[in-house]
Amino acid sequence: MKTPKLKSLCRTIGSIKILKNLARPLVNDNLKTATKYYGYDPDEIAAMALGMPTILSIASFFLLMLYSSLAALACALTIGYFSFTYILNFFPEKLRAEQNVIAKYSGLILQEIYFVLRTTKSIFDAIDMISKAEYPIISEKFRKILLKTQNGDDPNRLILNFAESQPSDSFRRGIIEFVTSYDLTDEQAKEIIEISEDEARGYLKEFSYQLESRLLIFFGLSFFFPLVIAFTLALYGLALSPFVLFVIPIHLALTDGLSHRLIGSRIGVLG
Amino acid sequence: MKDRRYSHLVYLFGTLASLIVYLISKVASLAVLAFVVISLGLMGLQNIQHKKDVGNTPAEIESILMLFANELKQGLSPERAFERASKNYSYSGEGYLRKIKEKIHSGVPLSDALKLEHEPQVGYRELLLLVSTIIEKDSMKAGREITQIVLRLRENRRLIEEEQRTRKAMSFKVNVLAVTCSISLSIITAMLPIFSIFTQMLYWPFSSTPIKYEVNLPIAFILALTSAISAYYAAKAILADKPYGYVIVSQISFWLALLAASTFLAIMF
Repeated sequence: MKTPKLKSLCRTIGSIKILKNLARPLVNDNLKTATKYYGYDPDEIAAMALGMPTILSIASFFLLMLYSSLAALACALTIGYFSFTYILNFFPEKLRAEQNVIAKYSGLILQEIYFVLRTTKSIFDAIDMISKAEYPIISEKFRKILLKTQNGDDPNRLILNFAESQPSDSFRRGIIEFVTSYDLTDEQAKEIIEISEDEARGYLKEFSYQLESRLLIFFGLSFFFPLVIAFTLALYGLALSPFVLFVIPIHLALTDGLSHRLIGSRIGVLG
Repeated sequence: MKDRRYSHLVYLFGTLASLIVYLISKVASLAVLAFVVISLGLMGLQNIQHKKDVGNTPAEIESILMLFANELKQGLSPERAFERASKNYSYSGEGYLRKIKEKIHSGVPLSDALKLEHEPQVGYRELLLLVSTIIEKDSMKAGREITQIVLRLRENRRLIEEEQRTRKAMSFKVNVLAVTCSISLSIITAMLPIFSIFTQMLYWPFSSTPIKYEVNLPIAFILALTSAISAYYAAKAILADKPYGYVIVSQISFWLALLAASTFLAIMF
């Protein structure tokens, strides 16, 4: 996602002062943290979240206006709303997903770091081991750290910098404590690892509590969509049109997406 | 993730096939039928493949690791400890653990065998690589470390099972919701011709066309299918043993309610 083209697009749209000023109230702490993590300006992303949907909505409105102005308005508003939410939530959701993955594996990674540090007392070994393991996201970052250490950079500093930059709080605390404290007892280490695992467990518990309301929303939406379509088709006299066939795959795609996003657990703990 | 991609491909393929059927036959119901048959057939094929792929369950791997850790604590070599652990624990004898045993028999050290074989369970690949690192670095202390890891994994499993129980506990609610939604949709389907009649009367009040109540069957089929799809996904979300059962119940209630409502409305008009 972090491509020069996207950055330049953000910069171009963000350079429109009126848009930037209008979008400023949309910038919240989540957006700030996420954009900072991925190296973007939150004001520019908010401006893009306002600018792009406006362009898309206007374009779709003029395209569909020839058919029906009411349908064009409804379509433009829908496209506008969905693209606005997508752009505005893109980085926070990406960060949240990354946070979930790191939280899921943090216990194993910290255990490995602690074990290697305890047995070999070498931070190089710990970095090497993690980079060779197949932990999603983290192993890749450790491979980069390993390359930098081979170029002569201080491994302790690199690890601490990495801990500061990655999004999981408990994992950050765990790494800092393991790397900076040389006289940790086994009990203390065990507690640090358990605290780091509690983050992923907390996400899972939070999801479990929300499950019932998510299911109700799922039913509401999957009931509402065919209803609206049926009314539209019947009132426009399109019930016998072959386009009716498209309702099923569209509904299927919608239900699939909804069930994945709303009720499919994207948060995992190992086990 | 792969499952979702496969299902998207299935739906896409089903849509294309149904369009082709429609273009050839010009019969909408045949096209819908083609879509349903192709999608269900391809999904069924995937389920058969899944059943073939089943290896060791996470619980089996954890139990073996626990026994393995205990054997290591007795001072045995990793290979001997693994042999004894797998001998003492009776599991399905298939999948990943069997392959590891075979590797050890052919003289491969356990730490290498764990790295070489690919465990399909998400997260367990990383766990077994960690076990491999631990026994490679210090097999004397490995037993204690592995025990700690497995105990933490068991705590995670308890949470996962709790979440699964929460889902399963909602089966009654989902069944009721699926039936209610289907009945509501079918009643609305039965009422659609009345809305059309009112619209007709509103726009053409002096029209000489006779007013006739007739259920719109294509719309009814479409709505029945959409309610079946919703019921199926909801049943899958609550980890129902037989999600097709929910589909059947929703379909029976849809068509029964449609029959009752349309008969009643036809008498009224």
